[in-house]
Amino acid sequence: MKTTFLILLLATSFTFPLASAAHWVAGYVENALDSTSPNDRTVRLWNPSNSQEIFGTIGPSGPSATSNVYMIDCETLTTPCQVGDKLNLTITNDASGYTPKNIVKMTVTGAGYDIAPNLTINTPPTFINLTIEDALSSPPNEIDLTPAITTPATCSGIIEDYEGATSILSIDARFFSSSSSFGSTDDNNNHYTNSSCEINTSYGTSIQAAISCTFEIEYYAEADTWQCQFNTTDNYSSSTMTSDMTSINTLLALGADSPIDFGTLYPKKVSPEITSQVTNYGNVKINLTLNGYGQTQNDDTSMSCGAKNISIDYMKYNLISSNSSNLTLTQFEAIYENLTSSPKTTIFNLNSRQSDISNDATNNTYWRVYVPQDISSACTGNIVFGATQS
Amino acid sequence: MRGRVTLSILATLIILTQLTSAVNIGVSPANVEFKDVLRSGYAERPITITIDSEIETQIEIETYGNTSEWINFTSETLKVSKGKPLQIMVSVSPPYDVPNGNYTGFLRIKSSKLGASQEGHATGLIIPMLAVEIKTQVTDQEILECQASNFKISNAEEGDDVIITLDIENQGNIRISPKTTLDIWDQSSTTLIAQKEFYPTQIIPTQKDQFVFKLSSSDLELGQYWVDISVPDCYSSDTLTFDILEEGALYAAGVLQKIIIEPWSDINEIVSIAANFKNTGEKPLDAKFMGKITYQNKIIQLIESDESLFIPTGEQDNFQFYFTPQKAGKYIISGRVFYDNKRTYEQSAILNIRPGNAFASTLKTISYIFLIIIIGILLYKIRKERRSYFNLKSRK
Repeated sequence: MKTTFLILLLATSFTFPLASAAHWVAGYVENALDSTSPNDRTVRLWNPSNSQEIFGTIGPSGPSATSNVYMIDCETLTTPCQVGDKLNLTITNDASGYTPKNIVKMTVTGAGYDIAPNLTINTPPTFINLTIEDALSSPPNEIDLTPAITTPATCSGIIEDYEGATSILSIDARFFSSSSSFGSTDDNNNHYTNSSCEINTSYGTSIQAAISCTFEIEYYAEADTWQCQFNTTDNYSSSTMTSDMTSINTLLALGADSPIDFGTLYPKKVSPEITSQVTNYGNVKINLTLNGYGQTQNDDTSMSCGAKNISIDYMKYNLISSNSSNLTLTQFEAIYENLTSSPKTTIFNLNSRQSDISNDATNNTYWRVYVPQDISSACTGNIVFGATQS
Repeated sequence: MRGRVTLSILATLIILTQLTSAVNIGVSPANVEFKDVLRSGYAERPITITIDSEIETQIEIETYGNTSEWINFTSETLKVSKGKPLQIMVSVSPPYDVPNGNYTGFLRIKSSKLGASQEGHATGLIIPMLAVEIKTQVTDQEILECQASNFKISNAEEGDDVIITLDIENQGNIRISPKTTLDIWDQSSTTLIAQKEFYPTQIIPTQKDQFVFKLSSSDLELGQYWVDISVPDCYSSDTLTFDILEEGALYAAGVLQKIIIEPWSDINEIVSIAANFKNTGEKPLDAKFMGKITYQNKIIQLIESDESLFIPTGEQDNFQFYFTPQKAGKYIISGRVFYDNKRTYEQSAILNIRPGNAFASTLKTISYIFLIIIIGILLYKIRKERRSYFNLKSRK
């Protein structure tokens, strides 16, 4: 192979000077470590003193007509090369990930041609395994979130780099839902970034490394199909993208301030209105299911006050508006809705949190109780605040 | 005075904070849907209960709604805390006399009461509750559907059993016990040594179980064997290999990871072929690659490494070959690596050769001939000039 190339080069150098003023710069480009050929790739030749450049093709489709070999006529530079010129050569980047490993320097001589030092291309890193999971591995490919706080989800895998595991420089990992994309900005609803993933080069063989990227997923992240995508870069700037899919499940969660303290009550009076804030700590829209009891479920009471009870009908709520003024029993019954012993679902349509800055997934509920005549001591009741997906 | 007021405000705030409790429970997924469940049938799915509090909180679960009597779960009272999510299995078993249709029930998950009542006040204690909707579609159509995966086989020392494991998931709505067949072949995969059949225990709908079968090695000699394992009912199969080893022998294993080749090339262009082999066993290996290149279903070239490659434990290396295609079309390069009296799974790669440009090819040949003639003429002229120069010099 090399002999054919040299004969060709000699013949060209002997014959072409008779017809033209070509000065060929030729060189050999080694295969990548995974045996990928550099044929059809482009070599860039430039004169650093004036930044002029020209390009040539490696392999049979180029002037050398020989695998792994390129030939470039440096006389075709805007300012043709002259004896003594110092020229640089490298392989140009393309989308393959097989980046140039070196830039070689050569000096133009008085001979008919010059042979440049060998060029080499880098093998990009490859993933052989990638998974994304939360703390529960069963059922696989499902992530269950935690109300009001974050849940760690870890993308992990094995990466191989023929240049050696230590040549892996960085891993940029993104975790995003189908409504987002790799390049989107971070949003706790649908896009997370981790640029400080762990790279364990002591794992496996000398060309393998174990990688692990953990994302702290907020409770209001979209219930959807999500993708964990890695962009790995090695020290020759080769980068590889790979991804794995999982799904984030719907999370039904509710927060409500407890207790509802009506203060000191007076017989035959309606209590002051007390506000209880309800917060959606999940990632789906919720409705409220409410019921109450004094001591035991379905006892038709709302509060137990020593030996006496307050009927379930005297505990009332309003899920829409506040009425803070003093009310008579008649007004109270007209404005507020009865709490019931059996659960009653009410349309509340409280959406999940959308804003990363402030919690916009809250709504107030308003409560009052009427105290019958013979109640005098302190009272305690139970209100079941239920959430269902709306 | 100011200090006393500040202290009083601080104390009030502390008391209020203690009284206002906010433990948040969650359940995931928010609803469950069971499709195509038979009357008197069964379907299950895990749900996860989470909480944001470090304090262990008691959870109560109850069913509610039209189908509450069909819904079952693994435990009624459970404890959950932050970082320790609780997974419970929810299942439905529709009664034998229910008509086909869609039914809805709820699983109510309640945590304990939050906060405490205050002396002399009327207090409503809040009990957070989550109602998970359970939808069930009842049908009378039997569905047999399953998936077998994760087939594994172990090596065994002489006299020990060979262990075969596989996962089977029942994706239909009837109980299954799918037949699992094993065809055991010799090292060259040409002679059938034995055939075995196994039946796993019954798998109920929607469940996934791992099954372990034992194969006696008493009739098997030392060496490598191939097994075609198949679960016909699940349309799943795989080919595995195992060794019968001498007692205490180090295990030799390797994987032909891939045959690396540029997928497109041209006629008469030399193509590089690399076969990447990895030593995955317990001892270093001397490995050889043997393969073939086929074109239009005919073997046109055998490829074999001249010398064995030495590959240390855990390392990998490439067998390198070159091939010059003469015709346009699709070539298939396939082969195996042989090591320690064993062979790997076969791997293959496709090489596509573009149709050549006849004119360019002829022009190229003519250019070569022309250049060689010029070189010949030049050499002849140089020699002639030299000879006449030396003749002239000798005359002088």
